[in-house]
Amino acid sequence: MADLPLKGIRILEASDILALPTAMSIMADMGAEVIHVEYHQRPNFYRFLGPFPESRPGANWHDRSAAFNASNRSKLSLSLNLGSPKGRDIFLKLVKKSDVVAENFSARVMGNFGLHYPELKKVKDDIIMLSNTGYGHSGPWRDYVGMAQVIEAAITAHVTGYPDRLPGKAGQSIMDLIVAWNIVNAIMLALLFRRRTGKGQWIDHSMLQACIPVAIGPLMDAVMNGRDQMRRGNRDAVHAPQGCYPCQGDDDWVVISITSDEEWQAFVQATDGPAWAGDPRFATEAGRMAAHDELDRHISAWTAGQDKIAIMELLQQAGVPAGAVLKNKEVLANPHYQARSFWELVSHPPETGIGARWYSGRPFTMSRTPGKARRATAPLAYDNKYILEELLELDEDTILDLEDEGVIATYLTGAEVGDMRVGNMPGGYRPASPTPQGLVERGDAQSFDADYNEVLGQKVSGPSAAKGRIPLGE
Amino acid sequence: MTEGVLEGVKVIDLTHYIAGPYCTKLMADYGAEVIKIEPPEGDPCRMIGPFPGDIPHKEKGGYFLYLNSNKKSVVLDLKQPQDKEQLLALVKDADIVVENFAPHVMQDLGLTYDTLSQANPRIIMASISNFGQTGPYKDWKATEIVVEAIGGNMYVSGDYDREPLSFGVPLYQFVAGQNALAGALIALWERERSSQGQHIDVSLTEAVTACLPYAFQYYTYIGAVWRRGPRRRILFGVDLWPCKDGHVGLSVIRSTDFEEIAGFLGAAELFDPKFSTPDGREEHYEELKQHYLAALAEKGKDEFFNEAHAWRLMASRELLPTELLQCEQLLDRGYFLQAEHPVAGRLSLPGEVLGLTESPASLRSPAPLLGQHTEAVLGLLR
Repeated sequence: MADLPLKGIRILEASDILALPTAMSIMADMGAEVIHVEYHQRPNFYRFLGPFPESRPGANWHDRSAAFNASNRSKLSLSLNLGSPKGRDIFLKLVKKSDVVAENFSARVMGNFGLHYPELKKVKDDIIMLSNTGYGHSGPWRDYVGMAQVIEAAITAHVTGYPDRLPGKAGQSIMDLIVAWNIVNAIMLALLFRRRTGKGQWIDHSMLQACIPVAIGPLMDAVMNGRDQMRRGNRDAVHAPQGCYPCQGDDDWVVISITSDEEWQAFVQATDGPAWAGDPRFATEAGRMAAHDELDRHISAWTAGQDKIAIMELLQQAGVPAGAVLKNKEVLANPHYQARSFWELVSHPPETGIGARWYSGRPFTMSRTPGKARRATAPLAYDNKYILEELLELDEDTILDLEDEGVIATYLTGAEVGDMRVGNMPGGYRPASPTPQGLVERGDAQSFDADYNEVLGQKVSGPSAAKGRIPLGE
Repeated sequence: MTEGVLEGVKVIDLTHYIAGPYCTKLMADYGAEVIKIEPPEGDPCRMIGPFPGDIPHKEKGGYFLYLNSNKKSVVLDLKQPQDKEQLLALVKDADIVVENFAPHVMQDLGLTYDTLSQANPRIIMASISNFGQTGPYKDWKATEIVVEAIGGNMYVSGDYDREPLSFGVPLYQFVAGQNALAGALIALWERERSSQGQHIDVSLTEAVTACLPYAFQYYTYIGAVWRRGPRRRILFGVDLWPCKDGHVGLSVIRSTDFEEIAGFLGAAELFDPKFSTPDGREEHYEELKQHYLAALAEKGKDEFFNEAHAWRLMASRELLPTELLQCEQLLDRGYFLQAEHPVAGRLSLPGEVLGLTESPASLRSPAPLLGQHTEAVLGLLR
């Protein structure tokens, strides 16, 4: 078995929210040693988000938030107050032993800590530092806060959404994910550059700049024709019909996307050639586009009352692009995902009480060095001992002093957790923990299954680990 | 002129449309020599609009002109044995091959990873496809909306009372390109140690699924089938609302943000104590919405965006594509580079996507004409 491909690379991560944590988690899956630094009184916002296992936050809720646990696996966790002189000192000692430092604070924060790139370069000349901000560290917007939703508003909202409604958004923090994959690529290129030239560098990563290419179509229309395209809902610009059609069931849908006359003919045949489909206007792309509303009514009448999976399979077998709109549990159970072992069952440390849960795999598979979820997301400060004692060789008294002074903290529960806050939120915070029934009532969930742990084969009471098939519905 | 990171890396680019070309475009921007192999009729992306004046022309497609700058175009008909031999000769001293055909195509051509690695054991091959190289759906057809549906994105996108929604741009094609690049760069890093290449398999549907950070955790943690919710009932989430001349939004992140929003908008009605808590705002949603939209209607989007940041609020504004081209922040950072294309003319194109300061992206040549480099590249082989 080959070593993981990024073995031997050490990354120091000082981060919040989603984009940078996700990027670093993937690099950790591929073998990098990622030390995730958080200040225990102001930890990552995603620790507050939930949902929590079985809707129970518990005394150590900050280690039990699904949103956080889904984007921080395979890393080491160190609690450290970078705003204190001793915390800064420890950080710089770690920089000396690292290849990469990655941070995503607002532009002035690392400078305020005395930890901007020139300071890091002083202690390690070839250090690679990545700073991720909404708009970059220079220019008139350098101090503006730019999270995923703000970038989405700037780039894709205008062309996304129903034509008769306001500009829309889609997915969940999609721009954070585009940024995450971009960060992995930026760091890999900087590492390759260092290997060739011996030079480190600063990466001034701007979310806005990273995400603009996804909207290159509308942008080039503006470049070439000075025109701003409008949103079209689920329709395509040139091919027809394309849409999302209702099926049998509660909130079940199928998408059909026909891109040629041949596919149209195949579609007509697969639907047993209803009379309306023989209309000569529908034989050409232009004719189908002109009659799109009419076609949508006919297609909806055909899909309604049928099973979405059956329609998908019928049309795909006929060579027509079609896909069932899968719900979260249906993607988890999907036979194609199962056959490719996409989901990974990851065991959490027993003290978290989370047990083993399924998480998403990586969006690329390497044949010889595939990478893996090396361990579950570490509880906050879980690896202080290894990092401070073994890596930095600090003695016990020094570590105890650091703890007394609040520079670091060890495993946290109860009252200490109560001191945690997001931004200027008051202390004593207790996270909201909606129940699945509550989510259904609010309209945020379509339904819930009480027996999901059995359905998924998740052992939540004790440790277990596996990769591959989820025993769903078997 | 700074050195390109990937100088000396040779890429054989068998890609078409968007996902594969975006992967090799980034390689080319950062210094790799990318030889794009096109069939005699050209990459079909050449015929995707927008076109200047809406007149289709194979050298003037907007997507193609962005996705293929810095590359060389070599025409080969891979169904002809002698052309296939020429391809294998190119692969012999290349580092990376990228392709995004349906999985059976490379197999039918006899150009599997095994064949290529026999010719060159150091070769790294990245394959991008709709459903991946294995599994029961591998030969199914898809477009962007189909992978968004099966990957789980559509069910959580759109309005509560409407059909699920896909993005208005083929966004995940770009994501899959990013993912293939990550695999290829990691393989390139690893090859120094092992002296061996490997095969990277990127599935567009899995790219969609991996971009949903917690939708699946609602099921694995509490058994809930997460859906597209009601328009949040909170005015200060991620949504955009009409202002005087466009669409804008404000987010409440910190507990005191609402007071600052009220102060910034200067609307006396918003200071009512019944709006001061999240619960209160939800309870009096309709009334609050009226006051809020009335206050927004007084504000122009530029003024709104800059003033909100002076109040240290998190503000969104819709930027139309024509506005993005004039965005003061992007212009100040020199984001757009100018290409001189022999047929399409002068074009602004996005430049630095990754933010590298020591080894930035460069625009060395515009997108190639079909077959522009066939003679030059194949001549070297003879």
